[in-house]
This record gives sequence, C-alpha cells and structure tokens, in this order.
Amino acid sequence: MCKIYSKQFISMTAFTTLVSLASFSHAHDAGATMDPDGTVAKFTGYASVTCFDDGNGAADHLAVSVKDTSPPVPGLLVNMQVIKGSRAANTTDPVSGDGSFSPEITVQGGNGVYQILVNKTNAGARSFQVSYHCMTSTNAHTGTDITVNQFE
Amino acid sequence: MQKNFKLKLAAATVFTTTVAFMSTSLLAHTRLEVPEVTEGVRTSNNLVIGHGCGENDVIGTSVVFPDGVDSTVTVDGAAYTGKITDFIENWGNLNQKIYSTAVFTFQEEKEDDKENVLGFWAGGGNSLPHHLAGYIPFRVSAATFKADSCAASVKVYVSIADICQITPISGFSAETVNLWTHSNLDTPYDRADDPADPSGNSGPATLTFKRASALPASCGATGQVVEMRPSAAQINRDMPIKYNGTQVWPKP
Repeated sequence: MCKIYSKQFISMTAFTTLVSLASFSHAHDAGATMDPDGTVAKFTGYASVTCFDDGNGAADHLAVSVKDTSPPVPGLLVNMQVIKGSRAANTTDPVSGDGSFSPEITVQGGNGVYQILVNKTNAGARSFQVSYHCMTSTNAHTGTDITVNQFE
Repeated sequence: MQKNFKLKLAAATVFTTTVAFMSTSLLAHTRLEVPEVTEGVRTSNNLVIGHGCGENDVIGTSVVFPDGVDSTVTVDGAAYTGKITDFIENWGNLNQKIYSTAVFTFQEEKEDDKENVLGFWAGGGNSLPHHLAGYIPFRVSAATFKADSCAASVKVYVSIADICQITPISGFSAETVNLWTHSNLDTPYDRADDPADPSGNSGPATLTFKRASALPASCGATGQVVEMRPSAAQINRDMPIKYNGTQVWPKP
C-alpha cells in the first residue's frame, strides 16, 4: 500500500525537471525584471543583505554593483543604492545592455544587515543583474544572505 | 551446527521482537536536530522524523515556517501587535533546504511572491521505514537581532506534516499523516486537541534564536522572550505541497 502511494509521489513530481528561476533571493549574483509592463517609473526592488562571519572572518563591508541587461533607451538607466546605519552609496550602470556592470560601490558597516535598493530613472521594463558580496577587511568573501522586502 | 543455527535464530527473533516493541513504544515527535541557534551564526540543521503513521512508512514531509507577515507574535507571553522584524531584523528568508536524496528523492522550497523561503517539502523515491528515524537537512542562516530591541530570544514554531499516504484532507488519520502542528489554529492541518496543552503549541517543532549581541541597558539583565506562531491563513496556503503549480498533497 505504502509503495503505491510512494509511486504516486514519484509520478506527480518526476514528470519534468525543476524550473530554474532567475532568482533575486538566493545567489549572490542574481537577476530579475523591474516594471515588466513598462508603466511604473517608481518601481523599486528593496532587499536586506545580512553580512556575517561564515568562517572566513567578520564582514568589513558590503560591495555591490548592478548591470542593466535590457537594450538602451534614452533617459532610462538603472541605479543601485546600499545603506547601513548612517552610511550610504549609489551607483548607476551608465550604458544599458553592454554586458558590463556599474562601478562597484561599498559601504563599510561590519557584520549586520545592509539595505539595498534597485530602481530606475523612468518608466520602462528593465532586466538587470545585481552582484552583492560581504567582504572581510582583507577582501575575502564572507557570509552573505538576502531577504527581499519589496519588488514593485 | 544445527543447534547453533537454531540458537541464533531464536536470539534473532527475540532481538526483532524487542526492537519492534521499542520502536512502537518510544514514538518521538518530529523535531529539529538543532532546536537552538545563535544570532549571527549560520547553522546546518535537520528535520528529524521520528516514526511513521502506525505501521505505515513515511513517503514525504511538508514544513512551514511562520512568514512574519500575519504571524502571531508574543512578548513574555503577552500579545504583541508589531512585526517580528522589530526583534529579528532580517526575518523572512532565513531557512533554506539543503539538497539531499538520502531519504526522499524529490524536494523543493516553498516561497512567497518575492522568492523568500517560507518552508520546504521532500518526498518520493524511497519510503522512510516507519520504525526508523529520517533526517531531512536544511540550513538556518545568520539571524540579526534588532539592536534596540529587548529580545533575548525568539522562538519560532515550525509546522510539519509527515505524510504516509496521499489523501484529500478528508482522508487525514493516524494511518495517513502525522501532524506536528498547532491544535488551535482552526485549520484542517491542526493536530488533535490535547487537554494537557491549552496553549496548542506542543505539536510543532521549535526553533529558538538566542541573542548574542548585548541587550540595551534599559532592557534589564534578562531581556524579553519572544515567540511567533503562523497564522491560519498561512498554514492553509503553505502547508500543501505544490509542484509546478499543481497541488500534490493533500489530494485536491
């Protein structure tokens, strides 16, 4: 009897491979599309990145950059900000769709929770990738996790 | 030679009988291998399935962490109207499934609309024999207590269903599913009422985050004890196992 139900489980789950979503909430380099309908100029992605010692050492700073992967549109650029406590920084990908990231920015806030924002200068769909890495004072990668708070 | 064989057989029979008795009399709840974790530390953990449904093997498990959106939060036992993020700053995506086919072949995380992980499921492939324990691995990421909060610890109730037969909700019984859930959320996934547990909290596993950072001086020496339970709406939404949009369990 158990075997029959176990087979049901298999048949329900094995019929296709898992879909690999372009995920904003898992890897340290991740992508998504802002404002897919192209009507929301204020569209903002807002996430919390936690820096901690994963054995490589305590975090010293968070380094981030953003890459706009959509074709260029005049007056439409993607920005990224990072904030912790009383410190903040901003970067913009100056050329959309060229395959290059924006200049990297860092905020030195040690271990703890950093807020990151991704937004754009006008209405219009923008596919993008972000890179976010918690680093030690010797520039070794250390514990990095993310929680997405808003994507609208 | 024949005598030795008979003696061995007799000993084996006694052993089997003893084990069978022990396995049915020492039924353990499904709990976490590491029920307490420390702020700022990422911890490897396991869901430990203690037994099957009577004589039925376990074929899958479904796990839900409170999302902190409409969850019930208490502080020192009193209702709190704010959010869990008033105490754990980065609550929302702290628990990730670790891929393993040691027990079940298939698995996936349960996510909200922003792809934050709210729980996970595992099932299919081999069954977990009803008299053996099974370890389902996951990872608890580093929690950060809000610096100005007085929380000394945050206990989270983790709702679990160990599935032995795929049935509709109407088919739930001691032979088909073990519900390690609250008894008073008023959902179809509630475990049976226990008069000895008026809180309704004895069913779920617990995961307690212990503060490592200093409490503000105004909080006193001991700080506050914070607890979080899921809402009924979340359990109804997140306890079912869905695969590519199709509900696998309970059977619709």
